[in-house]
Amino acid sequence: MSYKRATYVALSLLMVFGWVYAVSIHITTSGGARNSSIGPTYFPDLLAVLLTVLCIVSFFQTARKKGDSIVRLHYFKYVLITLSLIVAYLLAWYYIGYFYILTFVFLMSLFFIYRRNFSMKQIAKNIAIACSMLLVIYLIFEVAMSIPL
Amino acid sequence: MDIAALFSELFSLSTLFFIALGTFVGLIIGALPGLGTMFAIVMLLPITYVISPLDSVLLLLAAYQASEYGGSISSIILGIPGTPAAAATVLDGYTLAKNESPGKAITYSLIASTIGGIFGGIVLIFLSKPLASFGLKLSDPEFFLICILGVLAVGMLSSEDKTKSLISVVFGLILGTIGMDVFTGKMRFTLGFLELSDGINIVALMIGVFAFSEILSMLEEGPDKRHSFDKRSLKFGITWKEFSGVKKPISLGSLIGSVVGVFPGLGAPAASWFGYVAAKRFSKKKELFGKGNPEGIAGPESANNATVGGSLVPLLSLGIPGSPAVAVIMGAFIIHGIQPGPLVFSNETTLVYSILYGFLLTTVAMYVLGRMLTVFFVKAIIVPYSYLVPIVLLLLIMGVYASKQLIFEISLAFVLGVICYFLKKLDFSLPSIVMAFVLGPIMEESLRRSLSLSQGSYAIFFTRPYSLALVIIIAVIVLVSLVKKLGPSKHVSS
Repeated sequence: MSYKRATYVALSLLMVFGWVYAVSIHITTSGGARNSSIGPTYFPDLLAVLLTVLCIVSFFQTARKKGDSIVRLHYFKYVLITLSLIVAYLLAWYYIGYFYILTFVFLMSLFFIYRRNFSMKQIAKNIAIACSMLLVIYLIFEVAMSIPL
Repeated sequence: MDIAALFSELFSLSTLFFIALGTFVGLIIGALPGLGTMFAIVMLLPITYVISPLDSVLLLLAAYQASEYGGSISSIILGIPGTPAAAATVLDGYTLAKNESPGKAITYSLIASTIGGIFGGIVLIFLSKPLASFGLKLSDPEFFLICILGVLAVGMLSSEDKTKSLISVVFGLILGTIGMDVFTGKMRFTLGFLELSDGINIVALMIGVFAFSEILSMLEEGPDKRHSFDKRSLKFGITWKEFSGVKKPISLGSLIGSVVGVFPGLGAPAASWFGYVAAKRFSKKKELFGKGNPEGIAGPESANNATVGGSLVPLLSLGIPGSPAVAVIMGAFIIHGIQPGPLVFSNETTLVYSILYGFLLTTVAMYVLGRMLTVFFVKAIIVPYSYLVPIVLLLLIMGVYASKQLIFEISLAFVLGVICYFLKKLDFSLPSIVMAFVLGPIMEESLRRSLSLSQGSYAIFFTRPYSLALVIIIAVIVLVSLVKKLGPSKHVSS
């Protein structure tokens, strides 16, 4: 995607976010006695207006810039795979539990995807590193910080 | 103040352990290209939930100090800055390493960093109390304007695209308003999530904005990415004569770094470049700069470590972080229910003075551990991303979980990380988001109290002498940025 187009999209989304934010606060804070004009919506309203103005200014600045570049997403498939794995991992942890088993599977999946080597030596190395990490986490979080996992 | 209590707390086993831990983590993270100082501090932030306030602050300060030196390891060995503040060190550090020995270059860096750090600590000890006494004369209108100054300075002085930086500031301020309004108890933009009633968890935000987004950026270099270096002598050591040759740039860099650190917005990267330029300006061997001149290492390295002490001055005395990294350290205070500012000197005297003197200990720890372990940290640089990324990712997830033991927090950090990954690609400023998030609540409270006092009139910001002075400073910063922006186009057209 071109840099300019990506910027326009980002600025539009930010503006919409600002409006939704301001309207939502007005809705959730309505009702009750109003004893001051400097209420819970005052600062958010200022911010929403400021955000809109700045986004419009940035929009015009971007349009006036000469030339364009491409926003490159190198190795984006690895980024997407990693994000998907993280989502799956968090959902599984939330609904199933069994933190250590899930984390072992998560780490091994990432190692295999990144290293793309399925030899016995590589598998053994991956298992050793994953187990070491689980031990480190157990010692730091469960033993030292008393955080149940 | 009970001196005996102060020193017994400072030299307790737990405090020394956490200083060592912070130093160790800071050195390793600082040495890894791409991760940076913020990453080191943010990674350790979750630990502060379960340790004492003093240990928390010194842990993070030790990481901050050590990562500023650690960044130079990568600059010297690989020619790639480990942290933005180590970029200037590449110019002469990498060349000296190739022409002579990496060990010598690293020694210059370590000694300069240590002296710079101690100088910054001394400035911190002597400047913070007088500034805090001055801070007691300030009130809500002034604090509101100081917050504006802080976020504007970060937004306008530390980034190329000023408008996008300001948008980032506003975005950060918006994130800071989420949760229960302290004045009325009404919920704001919590989207029905009970977990957001207390606001966005500072640990989740910091890790999401800086660390998760950075990990995604690292993946873009490919999982097979691995740094390598020419394995020459890493033996430490310079002669007394060689040290004498760099005394001037170290002195200049230390002074520059301390001063730059005090003013919010500039930070270690700017200080290191100023230190490099000053070292070159006052050198008798200007022609050797860029060709492995040790002065080109000593100047920036002493400057970037001196900023650490300097940037703590406004935090402790006024409650305003002097840099985004210190904004994260401010998080450690907030986690323990301590509001830094002028009153902290009277409310938490032992803690504050322990921090002031403990800061010097973190510098000593950086030197000792740096000397002992740099050779091992060099080996850490060459870990392939295919292992590094999963390991760091897991530690980050655990770090967020450790703060409140809620998977919601990890999801929040993850969502913020993805958003900031894309924002970073489009030149929005992530440090501005963090700085604004930390200052936002203070800013809003001060604004609303000021306007309540003045019955809604903004004249209160112009009728008080200190407020007026701050308004003028803010106007100057804005004008300077606008003039700088218009300046180059005038040259082009003429």
